Amino acid sequence: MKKLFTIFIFSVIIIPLCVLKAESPKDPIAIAKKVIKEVTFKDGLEKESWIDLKASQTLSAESEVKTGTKSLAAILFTDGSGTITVRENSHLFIYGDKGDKKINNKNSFLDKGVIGFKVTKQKDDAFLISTPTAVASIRGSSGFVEFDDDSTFIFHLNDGSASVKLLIGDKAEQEIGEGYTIEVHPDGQIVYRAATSEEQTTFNDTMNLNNSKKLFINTPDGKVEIEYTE
Amino acid sequence: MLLKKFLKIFLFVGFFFALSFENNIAQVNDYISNITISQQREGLPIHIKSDLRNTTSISELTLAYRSFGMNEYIKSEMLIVSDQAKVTIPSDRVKAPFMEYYIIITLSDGNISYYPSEFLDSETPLQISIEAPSPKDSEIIILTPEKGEKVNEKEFFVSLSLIGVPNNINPKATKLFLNDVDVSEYIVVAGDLIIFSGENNSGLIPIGNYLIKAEVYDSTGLLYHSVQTQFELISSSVAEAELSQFNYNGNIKGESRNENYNSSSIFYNNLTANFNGSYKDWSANAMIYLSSEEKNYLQPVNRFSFSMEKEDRFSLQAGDTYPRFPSLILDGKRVRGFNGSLDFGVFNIQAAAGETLRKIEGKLLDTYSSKDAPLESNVIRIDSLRYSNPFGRVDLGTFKRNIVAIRPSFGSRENFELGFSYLHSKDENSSIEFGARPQENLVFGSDLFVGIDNQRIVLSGEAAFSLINKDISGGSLTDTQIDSIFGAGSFIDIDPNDVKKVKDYLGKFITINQYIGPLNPQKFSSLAAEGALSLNYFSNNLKLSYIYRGNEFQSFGQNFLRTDVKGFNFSDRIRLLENQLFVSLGFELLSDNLQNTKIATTDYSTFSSSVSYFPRFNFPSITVGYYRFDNNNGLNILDPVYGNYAIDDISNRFTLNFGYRFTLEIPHSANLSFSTSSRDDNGFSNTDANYNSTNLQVNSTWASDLSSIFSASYYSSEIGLKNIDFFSLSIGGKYLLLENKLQLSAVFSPTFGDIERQAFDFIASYNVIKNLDLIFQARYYRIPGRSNSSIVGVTAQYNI
Repeated sequence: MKKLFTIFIFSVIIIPLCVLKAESPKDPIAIAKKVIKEVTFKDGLEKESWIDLKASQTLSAESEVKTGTKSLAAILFTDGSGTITVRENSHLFIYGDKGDKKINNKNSFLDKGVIGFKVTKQKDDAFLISTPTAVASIRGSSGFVEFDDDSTFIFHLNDGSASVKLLIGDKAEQEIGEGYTIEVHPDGQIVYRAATSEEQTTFNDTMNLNNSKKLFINTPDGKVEIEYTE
Repeated sequence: MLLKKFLKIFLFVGFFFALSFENNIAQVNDYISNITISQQREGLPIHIKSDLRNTTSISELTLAYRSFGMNEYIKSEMLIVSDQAKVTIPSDRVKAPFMEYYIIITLSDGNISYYPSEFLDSETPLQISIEAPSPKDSEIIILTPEKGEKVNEKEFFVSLSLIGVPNNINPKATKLFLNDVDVSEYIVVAGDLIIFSGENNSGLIPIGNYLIKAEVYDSTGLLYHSVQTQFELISSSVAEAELSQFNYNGNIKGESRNENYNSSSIFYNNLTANFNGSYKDWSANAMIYLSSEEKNYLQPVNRFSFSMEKEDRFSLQAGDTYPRFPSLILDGKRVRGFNGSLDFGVFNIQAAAGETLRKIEGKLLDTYSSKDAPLESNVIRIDSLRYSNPFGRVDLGTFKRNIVAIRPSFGSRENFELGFSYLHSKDENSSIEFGARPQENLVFGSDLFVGIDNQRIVLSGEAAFSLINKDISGGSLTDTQIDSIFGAGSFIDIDPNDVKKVKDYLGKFITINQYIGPLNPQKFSSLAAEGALSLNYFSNNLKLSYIYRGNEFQSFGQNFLRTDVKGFNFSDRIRLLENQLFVSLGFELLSDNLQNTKIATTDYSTFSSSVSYFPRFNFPSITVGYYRFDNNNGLNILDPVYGNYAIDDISNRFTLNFGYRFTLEIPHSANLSFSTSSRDDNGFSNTDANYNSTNLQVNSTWASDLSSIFSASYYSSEIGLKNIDFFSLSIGGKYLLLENKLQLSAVFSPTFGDIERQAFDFIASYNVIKNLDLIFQARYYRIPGRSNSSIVGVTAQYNI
């Protein structure tokens, strides 16, 4: 039932976004800044197969990024509006319309996993991070979003301002204060509370691109280096 | 004649020279040989470093600086380490089109000297051109690397977004430079993105610090705009070390130096250690400087500090700190103790506590019986049991002076902030035996900041009230003593009951006795207040401010505050041609004698104007300035009683600055400045004066391992009947050898004319092994007929 519900909500958001984009995307709207371990992507232009993502790889609108265990990808939007850090075992879609001197309708859709965000102050549009159950509208701030396998949505705001609108239940909208967290459970129940120290730690870990380790394996062909996140 | 010919050549050559990223300024000065100034751009901090000579004679250095339209100079104490002094002008105080500055040199014998030396007579400061950010800056975004980022060589790539540029831009024509290396042929264009991949160009970019410069051209091939940023490329091994949770770096430096001044020879030894570390979002820094110059009869020469902070919310500094409170309270003064802040956004608190003066014991010279003791300021009461007489003539010592300052505030300063400040400073009476008149100071203040419409409208203000007790050695008065000292017909004609009331209220904070001031608080003699309204619309930066400083206002947290002055200041900085052209106008009308303590009131009116042009194409930047100072106290010089006090002088000053970066076979950067001022003095002192100065400096990069510096300056002054003319040259270069492990630099600086001197500097720096550098430094300084001095030093530096 939950799966069906997720698919339904996913369709409600993704399909309209795809349909609305009448013009085929041409220019990249994002670029991978850092990649650790196992990260693959499907480019928005050629959605045929999953390809290994490397730093400096450009990403068009409607691209998908998937991270494996102990992996990480940091993605920058080309209008300088923000950085999204995709943590391990996550699946993210990137949307946006290249407009006149800016990217309109920026939306990072988190299907699964955890992403950190650091968004500069937005002049016109808000920076959207959506999940099947809620949409966060961010106006210059940092924090993280988690969407669990059981469809629990967690949004933590470290600084700045943001609001979260529910796509389920009473579709309420909640302004989020600095240092606060909102939890949206699959049944529509909302918990809005001060962030815990664990969440603060999660945020710090999420935004830390250097929080990785390296493993060196000697092989007949030489030393192989594997970098992974903690 | 020769000088005039040179001047003509300067004028001709001047139109071809330019603004450098790092300016070196050399003036003829007995204490400072050279000033180095970091990149100058609005909103970026400016790091100023001065090379010192004759360091034993220097007790303290203070940088005085201001931007256009500021009422007065902000003073900030410089950190002296070995033969260098450093200070940073905070980014929020760096404003286009230029900053003015001079340096106050406090000598060991208590005298004051200045840099430039002529500042004492001409009051003409030095200028730093400040380039303003362009609206085009936001159109071209350097996505990676971020400013100041340390980038692993394996992950290095540059990405530039042209998403915001107009349609007539040709992304494929973009040029990219890493330092001065043109890497444009390796870039890849992907839509609005320009990418330079380090992976495909390994070996092209060695490890080190880089300045990225991107030049963007339109479809006709004209330069549209250029942007730049800095980063550091680090090796994989260093990057791996930094991946650990606890990151640190530091260095330790030992120096041994011999200074010969005429026949006297002194050895100096000093040790400097720096440490920087970070753990998650915490960072810590430590610094220690130990010098053989540390003496218990001088204020501290050694410096040590430790600081730690967590993001922008918590900071704590210990040791030698420089707290920054509202400018009327405490700003730029060294406090040996603690300084910290907690920022919660809505409520914040800042506090500092420590010592501003170290105790220095005085010296007993002679003793007197009660009937023989002369009435002189340095004859004080002494321990008669110990010294057989009750009075002694002494070299007065310095009391230990403690300071405590605290400022709670409300608001994050983005739109609103209201702060309240309290400062208490007191000399420790028991800290020395041979001292006189220990003092105590109390200051209460408040400050307000209101920013509306994204801070386009800013209302700011601060006010402070001070109390000072100029002799607390006897402690507070008893009620009986108050009755006997105060009252009609007594020593001080103030109602004793009022004094008792004051004692009840303020006695908890400050010693109340006959030495407390002000005695006329109702006349606002110890009140200082200032308010300003800034409007930033239609490319105008309009500011109207009012200041009031009573003649008795004093804060021990501020050494150089001008008092007994009130008046208005109006300024407007108009930005035109997308911040390439600045027209600045200012008018200030101040007057003194606020409490009628002078024979006459002097009006000080200042008109200032400048036009600055910072072209973003291949053309020199230019700043032209005109200033007029009119001081008059209305007294007639012929007045038989008050004629001696007559002030009536007008000064006019013109300045002209050129800056240019250009390539003439090789890259050069150059600066040329002219300044001329004349004073027509019709007052009693009748000191008409004329000053002219011209400075030219050219830095040239002949190859990646060879650069040169050439500077020439001409100065002439005519004060009354006394004329001084001199001409100074500096010629030198820097050469890298042995795969950049050995760096040699030498500068020869002769001065001719009414002031004659020759200076020669030589520095050899050798990277012995990884992390270890040895530096040999020699300086010879000759003033014909007066002195020969030399400095020879060896320094070893180990980096961790």
